[in-house]
Amino acid sequence: MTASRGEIADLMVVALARMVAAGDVVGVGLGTPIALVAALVARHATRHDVHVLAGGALDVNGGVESHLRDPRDQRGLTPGFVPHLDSMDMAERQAMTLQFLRPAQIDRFGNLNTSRIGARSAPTARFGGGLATADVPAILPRVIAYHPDHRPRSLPARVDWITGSGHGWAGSTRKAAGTVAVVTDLAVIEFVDGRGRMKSIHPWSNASTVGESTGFELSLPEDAPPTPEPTPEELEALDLVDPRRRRDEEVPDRAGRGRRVTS
Amino acid sequence: MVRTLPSPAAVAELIPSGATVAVGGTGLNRKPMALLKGIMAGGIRDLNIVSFLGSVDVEYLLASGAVADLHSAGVSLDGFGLAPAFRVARQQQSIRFFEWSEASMVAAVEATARGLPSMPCSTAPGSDVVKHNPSLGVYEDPPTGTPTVFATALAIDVALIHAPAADAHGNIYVDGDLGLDGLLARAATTTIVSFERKAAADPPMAAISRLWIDAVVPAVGGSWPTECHPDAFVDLGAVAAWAGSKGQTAEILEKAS
Repeated sequence: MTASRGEIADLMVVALARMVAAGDVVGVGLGTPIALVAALVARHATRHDVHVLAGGALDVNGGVESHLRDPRDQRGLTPGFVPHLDSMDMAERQAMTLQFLRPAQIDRFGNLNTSRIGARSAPTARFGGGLATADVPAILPRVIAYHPDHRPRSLPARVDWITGSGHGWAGSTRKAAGTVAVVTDLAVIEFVDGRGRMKSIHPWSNASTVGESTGFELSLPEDAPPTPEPTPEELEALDLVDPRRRRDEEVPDRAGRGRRVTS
Repeated sequence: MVRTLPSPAAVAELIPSGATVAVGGTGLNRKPMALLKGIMAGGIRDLNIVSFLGSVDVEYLLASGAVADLHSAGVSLDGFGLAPAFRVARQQQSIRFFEWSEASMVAAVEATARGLPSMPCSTAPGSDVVKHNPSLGVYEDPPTGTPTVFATALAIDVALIHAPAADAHGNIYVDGDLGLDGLLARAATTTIVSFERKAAADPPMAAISRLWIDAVVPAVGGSWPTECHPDAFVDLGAVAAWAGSKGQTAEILEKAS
């Protein structure tokens, strides 16, 4: 069974959106449409009892395209602007409660790498840098990662570079859970007591593919349910907030996920 | 007294080779490209660059071969893909790159602005960013004993900022997010601001007081190809062209003037 880019994007978005709780304040970074659409779908589903901070504007009235406009062109659409430095204070005070992050790698400890792939002396690719990824896992109540290309290199035993450290940090008095879950194009993984466990499996995937595609030991319960497909209400919300399907841009363009040989 | 320089090329006289230069703006917003072009035209090289969230500013300086050290919390072209010159510089190890997180760099600049030796920050103690950046370390917070990341003050010789407007006194006006620029102006020994247009003086509304400004320079379109709201939008075509290039021809990022 194979899945299209659109099917993968839709299921990843709703899987993320379902993890948002009423009252959450979700911070969305630049260049991550899946994170933005998921936060907006959650806001829609809770009848606006979820707050979304994107691009310096809070609770913008409108869909993805409105959020991608410059905040200063949103004067009639948002009740509040948050300057960049204030958004960091917001995270530090836990006035922001959740972020969806899209790192290059996530490992068994929930460590996140947004910096580089390969050895430090000879990196083979270069991502953005430390950004806020080195900060937020230590301060936000929850961080949920996502990766649209689940393979051993993406979910290795140990990330090549720890940008953001995993499940909180021993010795810290801060109430930060760190990375609590990962949503991929194959499955939903949650970290329970510091161990990865498959929570649900996407309809086009199977346990052995998930296991082979993961670089660390993952608990694969035989009774892991299929990730529920988007409900009619969720599909309606997806159309409402992202009619131009910006969410598909983050999913690698290739023919079908199910038959790909893992590497 | 705030000096008014005749043109961006004049900034080269104020900056020696080997200086630590902080570049204002964030991402594709208000990058002082005309000032950087002036420095390059003056043959200033071997610079230690501080760019909080870098984009075409870092790319232009790297492509010009002007960078010795780079301090940044991230370099990207937003939705336009990887920054090509940055990627090559990292792969070839042609510069020394000091990776920061956002919170730790803010703390390091704030320490300088406040005249303090260091500042604590909320960065995760377990991050490799902390492990490998010599300005960062984990210490027990003296009053509470809590393990905390401290950032050593980051000394900055010159801050370069581009803004929509300046008044006759040298007060600076910005529409929207100031990013790190207010802190940079306070932290730097010398702060130079290029601006799009003259504004009527309204000192209490200034984003950055003239107190922190040493020189202003008129430069219409001085942030090209980045944005300077409300005077200039991002030149999407120019950024896309750069993203699609090999990141070696610096002139692509020089606006004809």
